[in-house]
Amino acid sequence: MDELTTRLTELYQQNYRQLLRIAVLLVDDRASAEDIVQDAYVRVFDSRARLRDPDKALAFLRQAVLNRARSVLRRRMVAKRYQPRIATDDSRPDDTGRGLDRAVLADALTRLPRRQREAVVLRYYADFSEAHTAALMGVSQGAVKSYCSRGVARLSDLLRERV
Amino acid sequence: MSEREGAQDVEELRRGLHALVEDVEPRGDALARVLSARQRRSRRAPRRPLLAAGGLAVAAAAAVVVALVPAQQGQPQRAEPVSVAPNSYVAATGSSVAAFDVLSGQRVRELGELGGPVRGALVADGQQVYARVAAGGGEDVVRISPDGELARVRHLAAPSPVLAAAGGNVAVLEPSGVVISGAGPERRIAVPAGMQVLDLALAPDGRVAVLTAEAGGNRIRVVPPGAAALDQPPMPVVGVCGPLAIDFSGADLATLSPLCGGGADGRVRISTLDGATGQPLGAGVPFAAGGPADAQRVQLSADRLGRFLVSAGTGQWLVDEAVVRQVPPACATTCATTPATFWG
Repeated sequence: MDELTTRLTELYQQNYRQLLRIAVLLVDDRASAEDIVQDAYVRVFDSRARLRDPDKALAFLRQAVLNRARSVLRRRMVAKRYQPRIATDDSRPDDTGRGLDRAVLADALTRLPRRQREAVVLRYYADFSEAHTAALMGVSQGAVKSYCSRGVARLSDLLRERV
Repeated sequence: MSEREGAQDVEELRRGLHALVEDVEPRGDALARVLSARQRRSRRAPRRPLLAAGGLAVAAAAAVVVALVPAQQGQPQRAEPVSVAPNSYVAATGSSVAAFDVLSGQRVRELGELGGPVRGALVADGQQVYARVAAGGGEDVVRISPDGELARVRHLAAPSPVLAAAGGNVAVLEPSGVVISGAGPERRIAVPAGMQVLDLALAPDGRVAVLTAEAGGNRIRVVPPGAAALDQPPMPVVGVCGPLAIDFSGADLATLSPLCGGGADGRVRISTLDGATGQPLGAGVPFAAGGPADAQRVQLSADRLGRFLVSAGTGQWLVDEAVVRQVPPACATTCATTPATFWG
């Protein structure tokens, strides 16, 4: 195994699962999330300099996952606008207790505006600092604080409505 | 909602988010797919020997560092933390220093007004920008914070043709040699007589790369932390003309070198060297930099994503692996004529 393949494998072992879970929370679709993270990993290999520096590689992977997730959501919105009206939402929460909680939260997440959702996922799932979240999202720390606060309030309202 | 209820909601949300994806695991063949996709990509677009990867992917990822200015006791608090905009670089238009979008060329915002024209290239250490301005027959080195705060960090009796910053330190060239000051005790590196220093690069760990013009061409020496003399053997030179500008990119050292020989016509390339051994890592894709390049008027800077900005004031290029794009000139009321730099 050559050196770069070894580095890519290490990056995979250290970060793939977390990036995949972040992507699932951002796009609520396992298959799309898997594609997003795969694509990010393939692209990180374009740069030897990135691979040689683990911090640079991880920063690139996180940014690439967020950017690709945004693209997926944008495409999905366009597709939704033009899809036939007869198509119906077939994702209903299952009625087992734990499944219900998860499905309700997953459904509530999809109702958040994109930036609120990103801020909530990056801050409260990935546990990134406000500064790091702001850097990834390309907004100020104050904006992250505001997105998180509004996101949590909105999610709490939605969960209370559903439960 | 009370603060306590808010904190409870956040904790419940944390638990809920973790529970929501606790059973999400990578597919069994995920690593195999990544590796085989990488092999397919390598075959489809063979990479250049070293740095210039053959991929077409443009990393549109933003390099962003957010600066939260600490509110000091007794000082007025700022309403909103100041951010470094993603994909931005800083340039001086006359006496004003402003951030510009690297892709669109639009002015993002003004950082500071220095009261006199900026001399030479700007340099940055994270979100802090440093500039040289004329003062009292010599020059002042001024630090510009993202919130526009200005601070004179050093006065130079004679103009310093080069400036570098990293890890809280600033390096300048004085008649006695290279002087590094800032985070720790002041350090001096003596430069042998007859050796002209063309550029400096500082690494956050204290290494100093010095680009000099010598009889055999331009040479780079990396001075380890603590060393006080420029007596290290020069690194191997990429291209017989030698580099024009240098900068650290992570642990590696990047060099901007002209292509030499017939037909080169102002074409340059960014090569990378192992910052410790000098071993060449990447040869870089050649691109036309608009006429013969001049070490005194060109600046090389790297961002956190490993992209490079080559700035010669009026002409600028963004180099992201094998993709090179021209960056629009930095213009406000006037256009920048001195080299710009990445920041953040």
